[in-house]
Amino acid sequence: MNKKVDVIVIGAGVVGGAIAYYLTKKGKSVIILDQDEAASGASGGNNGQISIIDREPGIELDWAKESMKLYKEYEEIDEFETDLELTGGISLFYNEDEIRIGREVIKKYNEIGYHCEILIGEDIKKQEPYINTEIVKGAAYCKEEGKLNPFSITLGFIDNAVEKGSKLFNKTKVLDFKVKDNLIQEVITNKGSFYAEKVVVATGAWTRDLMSKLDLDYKIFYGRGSLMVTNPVEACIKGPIVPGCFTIGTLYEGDWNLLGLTQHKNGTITIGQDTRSFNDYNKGISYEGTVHLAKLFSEHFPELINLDIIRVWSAITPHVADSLPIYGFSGKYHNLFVAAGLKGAFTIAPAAGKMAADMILEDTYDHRVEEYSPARFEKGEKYEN
Amino acid sequence: MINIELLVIGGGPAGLSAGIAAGKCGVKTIVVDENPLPGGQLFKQIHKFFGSKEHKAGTRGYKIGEQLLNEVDQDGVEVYLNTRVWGIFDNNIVGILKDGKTQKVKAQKIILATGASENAIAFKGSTLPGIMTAGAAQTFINVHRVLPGKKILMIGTGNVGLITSYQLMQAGAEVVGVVEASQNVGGYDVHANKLRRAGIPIYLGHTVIEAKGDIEVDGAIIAPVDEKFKVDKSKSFLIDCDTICFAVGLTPRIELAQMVNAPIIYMSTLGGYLPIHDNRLKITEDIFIAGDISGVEEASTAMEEGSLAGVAVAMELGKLDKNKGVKEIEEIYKRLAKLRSGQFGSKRASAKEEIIKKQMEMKGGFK
Amino acid sequence: MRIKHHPILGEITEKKIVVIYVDGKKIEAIEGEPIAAALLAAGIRIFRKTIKTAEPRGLYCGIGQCNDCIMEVNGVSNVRTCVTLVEDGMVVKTQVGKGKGGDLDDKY
Repeated sequence: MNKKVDVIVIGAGVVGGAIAYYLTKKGKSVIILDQDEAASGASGGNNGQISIIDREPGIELDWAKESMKLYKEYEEIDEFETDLELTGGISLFYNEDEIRIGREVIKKYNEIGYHCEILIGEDIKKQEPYINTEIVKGAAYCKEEGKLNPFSITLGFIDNAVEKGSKLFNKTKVLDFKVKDNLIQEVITNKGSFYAEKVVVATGAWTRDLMSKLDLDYKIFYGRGSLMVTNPVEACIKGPIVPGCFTIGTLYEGDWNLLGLTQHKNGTITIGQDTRSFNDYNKGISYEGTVHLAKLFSEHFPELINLDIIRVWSAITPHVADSLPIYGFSGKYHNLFVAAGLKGAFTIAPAAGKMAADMILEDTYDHRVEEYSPARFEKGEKYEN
Repeated sequence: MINIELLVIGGGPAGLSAGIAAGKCGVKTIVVDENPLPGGQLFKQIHKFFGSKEHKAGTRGYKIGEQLLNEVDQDGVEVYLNTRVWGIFDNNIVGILKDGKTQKVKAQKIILATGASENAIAFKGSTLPGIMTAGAAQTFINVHRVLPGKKILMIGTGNVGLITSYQLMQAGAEVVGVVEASQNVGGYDVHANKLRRAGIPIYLGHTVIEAKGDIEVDGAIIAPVDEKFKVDKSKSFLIDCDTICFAVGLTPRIELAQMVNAPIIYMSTLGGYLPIHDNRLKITEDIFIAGDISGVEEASTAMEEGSLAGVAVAMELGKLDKNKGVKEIEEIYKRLAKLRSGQFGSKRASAKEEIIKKQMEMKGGFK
Repeated sequence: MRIKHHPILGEITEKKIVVIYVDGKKIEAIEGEPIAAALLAAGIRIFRKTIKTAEPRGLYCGIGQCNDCIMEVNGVSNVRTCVTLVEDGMVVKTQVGKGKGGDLDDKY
């Protein structure tokens, strides 16, 4: 029988990793479970961008600010590379309407101290010289955006936690929970049962399925995004580039003319697109999706068409029905903490993970996260406190 | 979109044979190959093949290549050259890159004949220019007719190492030695003796521990190894050479099989990881394999496997009478049994049987 | 060095000679041969320098699998010279480090 530990963290992505990292730092014994491997889901399949202006002002931006400081600390204290670079980033607009809404949107960020501006036409080339301004009519620039290395960070968290005594179990799928007196007693997996005082669920897109085993119905859905990566080339793309609709909220289902990309420290460029195919765990890629993505890229960057695509993959990313994270203790199961649906998690995971660890150990409670409480999806159940 | 009955990926001995076998039965077939010339590695084989007459023994490799191309042509099989396959997707959709453009191919059946890639070993300086695979040296001397260097040291005494050494000599290079870590020559004695007669030293029980040179190879340090492959550096010595070739085995190229989620097995006798197949070389409902991808063997076995897969596809598509097909497959297996006999062949034969057994044990059959 | 006489393949047949420029130097090549063959024939074996440590690399697998022989060809980086055929007037450069993404060098 596995020895009882302080906390079981389910999900070895960046959120679960950060939480495990801080719990371990505070001297707790932690077991991390993943149905596949560390960073094998959305944490390993994204563009590694720091996004600011697609977030509502509030705790998320505070987390973002604190996270940038924490990343620096990791490099200095724990010696894991983050490749963090605050290069500034742009969100792309394709017509006058989008630019107009974009102007409105960036106002609120400028008011709270961010450096944002709308770039029009040739001015966009000051940030991204290779962009095709025939298509891209405008862009929202935010100086505080940037890029980082998602693999190095996720693995950095987990390796550090493991080095300090925590345990990672790969290929370990949670099959069920044993519950008594509104407390999770036992986490049953294909590799046997695990026992802990507290259980953290940081399973991103898989959270709804997992929670159904506890008779909970969290409205967290998932979509498939396809990405591709080029061979390494000299710097030609400065910062992260994201679709403007994420910022101005004009996204509609079925739209797949979305392009986001980042050039990484090693010179490779990851090119991604949200294919908006919802509720499908299939991680396969399609011919059409791949060709479409390559076409979009070459239309946006006609001078860079000689880049070789060396790999294509897809990642499953979560979308919560009300667009807010699910973050906090369950109302129904008193030792269950959920941290899922944190959009663009790499921008906020360090601070959100740190705060989660504090909350789990009941050292702190920040009222600003109240609206993220999982309890909002547990209505209809008897709420005991 | 191109609609086709059979798409064969790879135009080497296995792929061409598959195309011919299927084409003869009237299966509409396209063979694609990423190289500007078809024939795979046959065109660098300028030596005569061994075996019996039915395996084209006594014929030189490149001549076999020419014969296969003629047959492919006669059987109405289309060959797309300079065509790269970049992915296989659901519903047998294959993405190909031809003339700088991507195209979609929908095939009822697919045969993967992607071959193998050469292995490397690592030592200090092993990435210096002038160090290359034996296959690279063979391609450049026999196909492009350019010598990769003047003084060549070969690592490995399998048939590839022995034959390439001899061919380098024929091409006018000086082969300064052949190094072999084990205590015995790996390939056929006939080939080794040809080298010995030419006065080329074969250093059995030796390995290269360092390549010398600042920007290009200008020497190699070799040292004896014992039966347990422990290196004795105290007895190392320098060999003057400007080129070092690796002939240290091959590994099946299974990327496309992995992309269609075919179950994979490790078989050291056959070169490493390879897709599990049944006795008709089938790996998934509509996909077959043939040649080195199904286990590294020889061009002669690759051709037989190609025919086998081609016949199996023709049967599944209803283009070949079942009884007739079964009989043909039996004949092919008889010929394969001959090729898979003897000291090395019998090991491969039992490895092949093990794979087929494994496939039969798999639950649920093909995906 | 070219193999003019061969005991099995016979004499080299007359082929059209073209000219390519390698790091500014003019060399002769045979029409239809890969760039790497022309380079070896001219005694050039260093094709590129690696990204992190600038170590020299040259021909390795010879059949387009390994990407060790990549060079800048007619302004395009990461071109596999063992499977890319020469063209008259082709400009070939030793690739140092990562290849180029685009041509706007002055921007970075």
